[in-house]
Amino acid sequence: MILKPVLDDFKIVGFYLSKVILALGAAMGIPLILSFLLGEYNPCLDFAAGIAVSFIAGLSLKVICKTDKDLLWMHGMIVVSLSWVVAMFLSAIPLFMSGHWISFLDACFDSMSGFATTGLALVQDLDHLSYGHNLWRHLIMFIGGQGIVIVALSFFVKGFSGAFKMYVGEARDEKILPNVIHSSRFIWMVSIVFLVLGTVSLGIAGLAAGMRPFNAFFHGACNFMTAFDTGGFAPQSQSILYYHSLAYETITVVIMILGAINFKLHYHVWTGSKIELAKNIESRTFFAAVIITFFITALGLAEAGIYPKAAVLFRKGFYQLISGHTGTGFQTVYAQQFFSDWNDLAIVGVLIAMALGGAACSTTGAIKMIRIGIISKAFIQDVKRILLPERAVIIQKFHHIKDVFLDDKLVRPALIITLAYILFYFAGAIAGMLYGYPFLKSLFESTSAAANVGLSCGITVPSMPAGLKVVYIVQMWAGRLEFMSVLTLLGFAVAVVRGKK
Amino acid sequence: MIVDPKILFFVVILLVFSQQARAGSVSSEDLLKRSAEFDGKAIVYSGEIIGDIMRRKGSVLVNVYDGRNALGVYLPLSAAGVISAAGDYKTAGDIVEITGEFRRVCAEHGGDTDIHASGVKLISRGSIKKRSIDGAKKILVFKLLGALVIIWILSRLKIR
Repeated sequence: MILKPVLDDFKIVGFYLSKVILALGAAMGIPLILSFLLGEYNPCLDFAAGIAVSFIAGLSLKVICKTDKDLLWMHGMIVVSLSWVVAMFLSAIPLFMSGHWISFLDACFDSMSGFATTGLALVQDLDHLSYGHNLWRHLIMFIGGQGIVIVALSFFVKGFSGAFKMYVGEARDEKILPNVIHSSRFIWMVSIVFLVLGTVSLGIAGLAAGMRPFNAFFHGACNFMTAFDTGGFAPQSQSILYYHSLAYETITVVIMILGAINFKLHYHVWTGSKIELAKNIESRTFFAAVIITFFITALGLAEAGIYPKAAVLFRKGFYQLISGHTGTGFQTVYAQQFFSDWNDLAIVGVLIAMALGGAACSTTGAIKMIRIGIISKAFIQDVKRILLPERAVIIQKFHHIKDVFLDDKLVRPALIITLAYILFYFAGAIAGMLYGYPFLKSLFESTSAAANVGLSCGITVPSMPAGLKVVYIVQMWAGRLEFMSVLTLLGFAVAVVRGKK
Repeated sequence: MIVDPKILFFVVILLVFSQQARAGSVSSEDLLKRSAEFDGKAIVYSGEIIGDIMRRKGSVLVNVYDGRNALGVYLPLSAAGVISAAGDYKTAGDIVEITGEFRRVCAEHGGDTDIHASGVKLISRGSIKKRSIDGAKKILVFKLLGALVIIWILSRLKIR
């Protein structure tokens, strides 16, 4: 029997949601300041409107729902899933007001794409967008990569017992440190240190490429934020191809890989346990997956004969592959060329990499390496069970920070989530085909949205059907949160309608 | 409404000349979608220089935007003196007509798709855009800030 939610349930959700909304409003102050300093006065007004609406909504909700009750698991999950939807609408306000998005739906699409660190974009005339709006696009990706709710909590809440429930809701089921707030602050510390290093490195690469100093470092900061958070927005419409620079590509590859590594692994490497990197199941699986998927892509590209030199084939193939595997979405080939110049085999290689994703507790989306590692180990265990004598005791272990014995309790959820992702990829592909797109293109774009990658084969354009935009928004949202908190929200909605008192 | 015949004549002449100017020019969409067909061929491509004018060893790299896509164009140093403004939020970049070779996979530049220009013609000089403050936005923001102050006062009263 489903119980109907009581008033207190709504108040708890509303109260914590208000904190997230207020934090988001405060974050809009950063691009507002930049716009003001650069004399971009209309963008200043766009952000002032966004801040005012956020503060009005946040303050109203805070007063109406004021409570001192703590969160239950259900509340935590609902706060998370609702926060992402509310954040999408609020962040879209300054974007839409800029006039670079033809509809509010398009602005919402880019806003969700940013928060979910996807990178698919419907912005028009990006090359003439203001610095303030461009910073906001990249900042929402940085915030989304860390987890919107956790960002709000780590800065605005001193500590409370419900934090872990929201931390898990944002698809981070591993605590780095015993306290969740400390864990999220560690994630911030790592991100800020890399932000400084990454911005300087990319800034220098930009200067060497001939860019103006301000642009070089502005682009450096923006590209770092979206590379480390495996998002994929770029300040110019050509993505990384704008720079025509090997150094730029090399640095972004390093940053993308750093972003795809589990923050728990970062912690162990930072605290001196470098051997963990070589022993960990996630890094080993990632290494193997990159080799296999690159082999497929390279075979396809060699067969297509588009790149006559091996070095060029490696540069183009490996960049798109790593971009897809880490879920970033930076491109050094034009979207139109993916399907006109690359053959199906090469595209399938990148498609598999996108579907697999990076590490758990990182900023990537998709199935993730830990699940692939566990399923592979379970597969090996079952093969051994068939081959070895019936009385043999088969023990399978893997190393993830510590040695872990493989049992069905670990394999089952890994298989369920993997299956859910695969179904989700195909559901989006069917939606694409219903709108008349061919199968492989539809599957590619759907996987890119649901796995929060952002590589595009050309379907994602402002003129695409509105229904498909909504499908991709839902895919980006549910894919980033790994379904559970979204399903809890749907369950809550059902309980409101059909629950018993 | 009666249209001045002089204005009508001017508009017709302008349309005819702009069509002629476009006739030899190929769009970025055609270049990218039919890249194999245009690979290694001499083309004419027009658009606005956007972003940065990047000086490199022996050439200048600019990205030229034709309203659909931007393509990288390598200009010889001698031709680079013609251009001066790159477009962004505050600036309308130079509009140029590039004559050169389209390279689907440029062996010289790591396999990138680009154009190696042999000539560049300045169609119109770039300029600083004049942007006045949007009155409707200003009024909206004042109204929202007013509402926010009221909500804030009410929230303080309610909390007490």
